[in-house]
Amino acid sequence: MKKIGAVVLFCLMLFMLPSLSHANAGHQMYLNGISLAPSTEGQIIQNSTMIPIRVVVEELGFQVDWDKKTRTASIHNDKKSMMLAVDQKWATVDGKKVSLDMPPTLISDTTLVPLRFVGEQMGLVVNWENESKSVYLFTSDFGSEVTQPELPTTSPEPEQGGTTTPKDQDKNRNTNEDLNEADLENGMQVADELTEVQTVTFEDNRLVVGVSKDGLLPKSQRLSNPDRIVIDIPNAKFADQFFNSQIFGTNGQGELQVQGHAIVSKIRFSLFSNSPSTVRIVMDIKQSQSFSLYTTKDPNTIIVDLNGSTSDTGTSTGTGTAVNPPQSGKYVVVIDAGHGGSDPGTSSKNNRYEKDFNLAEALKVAELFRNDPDVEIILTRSDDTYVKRSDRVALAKQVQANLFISIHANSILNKSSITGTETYYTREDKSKAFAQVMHSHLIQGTKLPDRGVRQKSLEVTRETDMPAVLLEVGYLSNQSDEAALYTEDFQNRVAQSIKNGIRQYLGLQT
Amino acid sequence: MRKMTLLLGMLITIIAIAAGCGQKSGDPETGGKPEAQQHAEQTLHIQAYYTDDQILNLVQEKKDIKFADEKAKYLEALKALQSTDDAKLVKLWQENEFQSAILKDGGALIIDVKIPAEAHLGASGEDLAIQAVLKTVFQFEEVQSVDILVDGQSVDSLMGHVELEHPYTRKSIM
Ligand SMILES: [Zn+2]
Repeated sequence: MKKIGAVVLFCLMLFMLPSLSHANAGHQMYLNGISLAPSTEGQIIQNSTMIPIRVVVEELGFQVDWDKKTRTASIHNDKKSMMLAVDQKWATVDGKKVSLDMPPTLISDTTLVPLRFVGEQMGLVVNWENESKSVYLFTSDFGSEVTQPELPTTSPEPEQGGTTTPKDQDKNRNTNEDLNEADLENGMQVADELTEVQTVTFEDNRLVVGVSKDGLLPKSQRLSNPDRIVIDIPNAKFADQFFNSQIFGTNGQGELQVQGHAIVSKIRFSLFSNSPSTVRIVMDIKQSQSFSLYTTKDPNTIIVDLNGSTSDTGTSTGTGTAVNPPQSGKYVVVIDAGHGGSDPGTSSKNNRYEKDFNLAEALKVAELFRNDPDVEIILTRSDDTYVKRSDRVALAKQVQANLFISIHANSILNKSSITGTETYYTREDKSKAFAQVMHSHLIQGTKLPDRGVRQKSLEVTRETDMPAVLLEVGYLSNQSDEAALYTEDFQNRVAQSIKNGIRQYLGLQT
Repeated sequence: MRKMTLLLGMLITIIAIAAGCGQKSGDPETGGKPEAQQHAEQTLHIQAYYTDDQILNLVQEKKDIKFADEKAKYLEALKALQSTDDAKLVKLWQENEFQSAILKDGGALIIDVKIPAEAHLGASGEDLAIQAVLKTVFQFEEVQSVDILVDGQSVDSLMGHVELEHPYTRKSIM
């Protein structure tokens, strides 16, 4: 075993300690528990640990090609490749641009590269142990130790960029397991695209997570022994201000005690994985409890609602598939404005696009429900962006929507005499009755010819699992339909008819 | 070693392309061999597919297609979808362009289409348009699978309502 003189103070990447910003000999770097050779000294530059490129080759075992002319290093193994150039603030990883906190730099003929970036992008887990000022690197094939490295029994500095907590450290240890299972299967994450988790609060039987972006797709699972609800927010990290607050302990884990609540005892959260960067929130609960998970926009939040849906299958009513009524929360209805962004949908002779009608109509429906006591609307898009149909379906499933409504406008260019309103469904058992209710209201709203309720195999109505319809409100290829569809009056009537249909189907007053 | 294999693969591909070019010089247009000019124009009866004015079901109509080169028949059959004398029928492909339809080894038909934005259909029309293409080309029993590309690209949907399969097989139209 060889000794290393490299300085590897990873915690400094996030915590400014300028006094330590110089080389400091005597620290160790371990790869899968074995100490590495002190081939040279590393340096801390602007809070990033930089190591000479030959360490990458000799000690970490990656292949490196150095292009003298362009001063570019290409580092690769059999799975990944990346290119970094001296003084260039971004790298290319598998062909994608990724920004760097600290670019490679040339100091007295030695090219230094950022260790954490290179290590993590090449699939290593990088841990900093503060007490002994050591760096622990683990390869992804290093068994379970990758995710739960056994570190010395001292408390590491809090550090978002990947410190996992030693499991034998203190009395809280047994509760930390959920938060330490890093998932290395998914690829890396572009740092500047991460969602910031800004607040975590619990009120009115709801966990409310304030986030910097909308349209997130958090994952939830209910686990037992002990009972807990686990929420993973992919591509996310904690906002610095939040992370530096008292709520986070020295082990990088935040904790919220919930006093005197019948079900929830406490809420824990930490950065659970680095690749991709994932924030995990765990609600420790006293008994098994159903919940609904959904997101809101303005303010952007992720909400875990314990008031919401039950896991019962519900009882059948005369109107077809029963919707599980919320006990005291709200029904969740996904309104899907068809197409968007690069997909304009159909278009009219006057060059008006279907995607614009769909969005205007969806926003009007959402507005009508803004203060609705019973129904919460989730939009699949709220601006002119392209959303994959599979993501629309995934969103509806993830928020455990009670109903799904896709809004479209039709066209048949060579038969412009065709006019009217159609409603589509796919799954007869789940959606036919809902389609009939929606259609009967919709044609009152459009006042266009009734072209009926139809069954077709369409992706969004087929792949969803709740009652789902696709409304073809009118024909953009027909002059009078088109003229109507872009008026406020028509759109307001249709929005109201959609609202009436939803409320009737849910058995609410219209 | 991997580079060598890749290089070899590329060489083989280049040779194959070169060989293909050699055969092509037999075409009448390029002033090739006499037997190529003897291609007699053939006529074939096929079923072409349209929809009704409800845009709900496919409606078939007998059509004659003409071609000199056997290889051109798939494209000619598809082009039949773009016109009909029956005023009651609605054409699903009139405004779109069939750029090519080439049968590869193993009965894989690759169809390349151009779809202008203004020709996008609604949900039902899009579904029927795809079905019309499949039913038309699967009439040729040598066609085992169909891949529909847009401007040479494998896209997930033609018009944003129905996901494309890459490729469709005969099971797709059951
Ligand atoms: Zn549409």
